[in-house]
Amino acid sequence: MGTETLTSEQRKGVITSILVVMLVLFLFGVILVAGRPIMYFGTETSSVAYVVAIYAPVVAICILAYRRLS
Amino acid sequence: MLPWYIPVGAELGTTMLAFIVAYAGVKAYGKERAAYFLAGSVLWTSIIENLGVIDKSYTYYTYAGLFGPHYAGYFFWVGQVPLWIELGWVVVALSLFVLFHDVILPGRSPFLQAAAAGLFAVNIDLVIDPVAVANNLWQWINPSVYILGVPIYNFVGWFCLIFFYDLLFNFTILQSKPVAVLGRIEGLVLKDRYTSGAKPARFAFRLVVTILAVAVLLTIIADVLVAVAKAGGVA
Repeated sequence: MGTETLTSEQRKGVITSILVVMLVLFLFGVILVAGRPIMYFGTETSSVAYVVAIYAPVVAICILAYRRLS
Repeated sequence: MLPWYIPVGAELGTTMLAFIVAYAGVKAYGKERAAYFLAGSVLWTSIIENLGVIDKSYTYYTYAGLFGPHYAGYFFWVGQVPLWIELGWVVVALSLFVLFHDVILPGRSPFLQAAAAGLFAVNIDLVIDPVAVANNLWQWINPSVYILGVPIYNFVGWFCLIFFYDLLFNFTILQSKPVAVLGRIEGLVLKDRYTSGAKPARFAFRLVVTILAVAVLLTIIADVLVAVAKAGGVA
């Protein structure tokens, strides 16, 4: 069973879910940049570097999911 | 004190995301099942989160008084927990459920799908929690082993919450037949379960019973683990 069994409505649901995951990343990225850096990193640059490294697998899975749909 | 737009932005942003994910749920599973997912998820996380506050693990009152003496720190609350926290769980749980059940691991074992969603949620929380704590959206106050300002057991909690809710929704609402033991309890309590219009009651019953049972079980396990850790001098 693969993604070919999904109806067009279900595809909309999946694409929206991928968008939501990306928006969660965006929201907390904005809070980080607008607010304080992560504790123990101290600086904004190292906090952003940590966030980028942690988010990389999430973004990769979202891209994989989107490619499977198309 | 941080600027007002940090807590307001988090509350407003997460609430908006909850509406978007609700749309995704309706498209993926239909109105009825999406509604059960959302209601069940809010109930599930309200119980666990409120227990966490009562247990003095964390607090959400850092921004209390920001907009006057009656402002508790956020606008909408469910007990001791801001509504946007529950909605945040809904956002993560539902989007990952759709992703892992329908695209990444379709047709695979439900346990594998739930475990993958749980691990993925922990990955996301490795940013959410440290950023939130640094910006006082909530504060951890329990003595424990901390990493980036967050107790390690929080990440275990994230995995468990997403893993169990994924299984719970899958086996009670998404699949047409509930697990055998639940079916028997349902048969004892809901005598009219085969009459027309009984389906919503059946779904709600399944979800509420399993949520309460699993929440109580997890709370007992967590309390035992904390007690063991305290006895061993870890916490």
